[in-house]
Amino acid sequence: MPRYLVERTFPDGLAIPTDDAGAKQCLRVVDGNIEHAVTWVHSYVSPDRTKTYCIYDGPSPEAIRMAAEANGLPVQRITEVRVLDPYFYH
Amino acid sequence: MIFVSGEAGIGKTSLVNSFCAGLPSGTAVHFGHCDSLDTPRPLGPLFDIARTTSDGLGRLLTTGADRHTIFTVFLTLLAARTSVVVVEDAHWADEATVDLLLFVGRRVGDLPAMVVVTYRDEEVGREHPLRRILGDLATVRSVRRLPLPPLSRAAVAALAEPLGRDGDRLYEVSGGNPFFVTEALDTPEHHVPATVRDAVLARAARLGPAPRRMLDIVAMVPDRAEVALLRAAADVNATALDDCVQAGMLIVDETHVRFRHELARMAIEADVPATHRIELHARILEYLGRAASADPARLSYHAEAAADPAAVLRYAPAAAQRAASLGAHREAAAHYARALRHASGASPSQAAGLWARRAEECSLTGQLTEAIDASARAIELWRAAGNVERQGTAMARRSALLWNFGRNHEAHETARAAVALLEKLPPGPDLAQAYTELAYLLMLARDITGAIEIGSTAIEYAERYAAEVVLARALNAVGSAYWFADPDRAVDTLVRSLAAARRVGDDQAVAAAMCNLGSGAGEIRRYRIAERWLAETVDWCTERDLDTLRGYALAWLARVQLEQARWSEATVTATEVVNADPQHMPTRIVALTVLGRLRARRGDPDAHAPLEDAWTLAEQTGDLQRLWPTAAARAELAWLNGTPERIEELVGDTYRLAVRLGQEWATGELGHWLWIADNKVRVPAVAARPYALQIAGDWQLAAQIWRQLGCPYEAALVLAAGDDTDQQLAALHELHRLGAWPAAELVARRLREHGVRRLPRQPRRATRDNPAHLTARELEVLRLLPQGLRNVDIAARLHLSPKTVDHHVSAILAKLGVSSRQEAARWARKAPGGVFKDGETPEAT
Repeated sequence: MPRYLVERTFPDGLAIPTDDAGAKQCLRVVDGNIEHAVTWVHSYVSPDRTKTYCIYDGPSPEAIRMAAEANGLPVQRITEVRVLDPYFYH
Repeated sequence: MIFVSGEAGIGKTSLVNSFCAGLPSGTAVHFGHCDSLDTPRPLGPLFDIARTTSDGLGRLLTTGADRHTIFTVFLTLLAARTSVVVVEDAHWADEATVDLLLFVGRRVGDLPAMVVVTYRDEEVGREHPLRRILGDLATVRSVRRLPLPPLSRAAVAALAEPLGRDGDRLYEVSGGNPFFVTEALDTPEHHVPATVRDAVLARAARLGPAPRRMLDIVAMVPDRAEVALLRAAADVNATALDDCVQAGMLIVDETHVRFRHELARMAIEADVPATHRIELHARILEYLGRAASADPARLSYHAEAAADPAAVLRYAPAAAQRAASLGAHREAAAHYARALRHASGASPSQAAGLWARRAEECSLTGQLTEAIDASARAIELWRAAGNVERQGTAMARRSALLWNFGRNHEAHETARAAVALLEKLPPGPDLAQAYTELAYLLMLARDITGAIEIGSTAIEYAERYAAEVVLARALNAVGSAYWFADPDRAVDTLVRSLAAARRVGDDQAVAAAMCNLGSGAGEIRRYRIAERWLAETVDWCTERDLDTLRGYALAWLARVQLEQARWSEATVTATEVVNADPQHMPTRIVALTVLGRLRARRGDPDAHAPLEDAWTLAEQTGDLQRLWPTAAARAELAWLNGTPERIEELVGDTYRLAVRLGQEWATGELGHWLWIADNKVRVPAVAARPYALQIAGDWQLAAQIWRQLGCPYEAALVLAAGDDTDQQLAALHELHRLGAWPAAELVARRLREHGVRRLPRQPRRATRDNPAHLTARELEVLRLLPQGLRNVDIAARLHLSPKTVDHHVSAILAKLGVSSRQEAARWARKAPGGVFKDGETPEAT
């Protein structure tokens, strides 16, 4: 299954509290992904919280987009990526 | 719906009977049996069920109502009260029953009903019709499969040892087959019989001669024997029947007698000497021939088994006609084949008619090789009989078969030969048909002038000679051709085709007319008309399980959504089509092209692959209507990727084909890409207006036309390529709004090169205006939820397919974080500011 880097923009800043409510919010996204066979691996967030870079596994770019829409998340750009591990060669 | 499968004798029926016996009282239970006549009765199980219900189902079946009505009434029956329906031995199901199972399987999830289907998996090979629906229903959540395993060694031992028998030996011989095990344990001998057959015959032998004669005749009736039939055809008394029942070999249910197990019936049937079998079948035939309501499929079976060719010729065609009228075309084709096996005494005309009808039925079931062979024989026999009208008609029908088989050149030749032959005679319905087939072939090849000219004559004759079936098809050919000559007349003509198809009750022709209304309007970018008819086609086909045309209409709907920049919807629709893996090539080409264009325009990865696949398929057809959109999509991708020098190679040949056929939208779009690559290129006057205007430098009017057509992406691209900085900035803004970042980056780069400094930032998404991030379409759906509408009703109101509404509702639930549509409706009522337009209340929408 291909891996994708999904860039999202949150003009008002992303607000996920580090408590039960935040955990619930994240799990809701995970649940919403299931129907589209999409897995959220993890994300990187910019310090001002207006941009996120999310690593996803999914069957197609369409599945990524439909899952994002089901979860009410914006999508700026999707790039297919592979892992490059710099320490692999050591 | 539960599919219970396993080998013969594994205990499917016992399991189902025991399940039904344990149901709470008040649960209605209906049984339907598929029978092992080599060509089964059409909708046999439904006839059984109708006997045990008091609503109008039985009357509908005997009065020959159309299939859709029958299926719908059956569904209403299931909706009325808690019920269990058992369809036994579906490996013998006729085509209409298989269709019924698919129809019910897709809808049973919403009903208070359970449908149990039993079948022998060893009889369901790769080509078996049941295999197809098992695949189609594989992803339906309310459908489950229950394969039954044989008894274990320990279980056989547990049964055998109390009787002092060798459990291990019995397990080795029987393989744990429960029927075999019980039969073997029932034999008094202490040795284990070697086969099921031995066990059954041993039991029968113990009964004595009179009961054995009773068993013999019941064994000749693979469905179920009426008690009255046995009384008339068997020279045995009622005690014999009682003995058989007591011995557990036969079962009597009210008026019918059958074997407790089909394996036992087959063992007895095979044990009857051949000459005696013929004699028994002749007696049964004689009885059934006098019975008023006997199904001709049964008569035809016994006529063949009684070696009575005259009776076969009488009953088999009648059985075929009945099967065809219920949509069991596979069975109809088989009945004609049976009649033809016994046609040595028939006249050439009679045989020719049978071959011609067999050709029709084979073509309806996709047996194209057999259809082409049968049509050749029909033509030859009509010629020998000197019947020129029929010969010409058969040739005309053959031309359509040849086209479906990809023998296009031969198809045109045959259609022209049919016309030449029939033109020598005074005009009549036959000539109308020949003209119709020729016109259809010309329309498909986009010879628009020829199609309209010949098709119009076909319409005139079909009307004059009241040939409605021909009329519907002639109007479709001409109407579809008019899209490229006089679009307003296209609508009128296709609507007339639709009406004619409805009058003769031809569901497929109705769908074909609707679909060409939708796709034709889409091809010339009349989106309102296109969407309306495509949505109607999808609904019509969904209700009737016409999957091929449903897929094609959905693919076109995705294309129309894409062209209007409704990319989220197009994504959902195109994905649905592609995930269903359609075998219909035109459907694949349209859907893959839409997917590729969506990826290209949004800068998503891998736009290349679906477009290459679509192109390979399109090239095989050689048809402009398939080549043009894919060629244009590949050119667009090359442009967005910054390689415009590849465009000529990608679209040149297709462009020249479009110019030669004078097709305006194809010429315009492809010519415009050639002009993007090389601005010295000029296009002929036939090119569609917005493209011609842009190339001529009138980008402002071109953009206005694009907006009027409903194509904001094209409008933005035209403005961006103009020379007014404000307009270019507005175009950039629009491209950002659409999420078209590859085009937006091209435009931004050009603006920076021209010294424009302050480019707009990416705007907020439209969905951010409402708290739950619902899209406009989801808001529309949410507004209807408080009224308690079902998805099909919402779909009808919004001109969407129920499946799409299903997607929207799931998305709404996910976004609102609620688990039911009732909760979503409550949410909508509480937050009217965000959901309902000013002055609206939930109930009033």
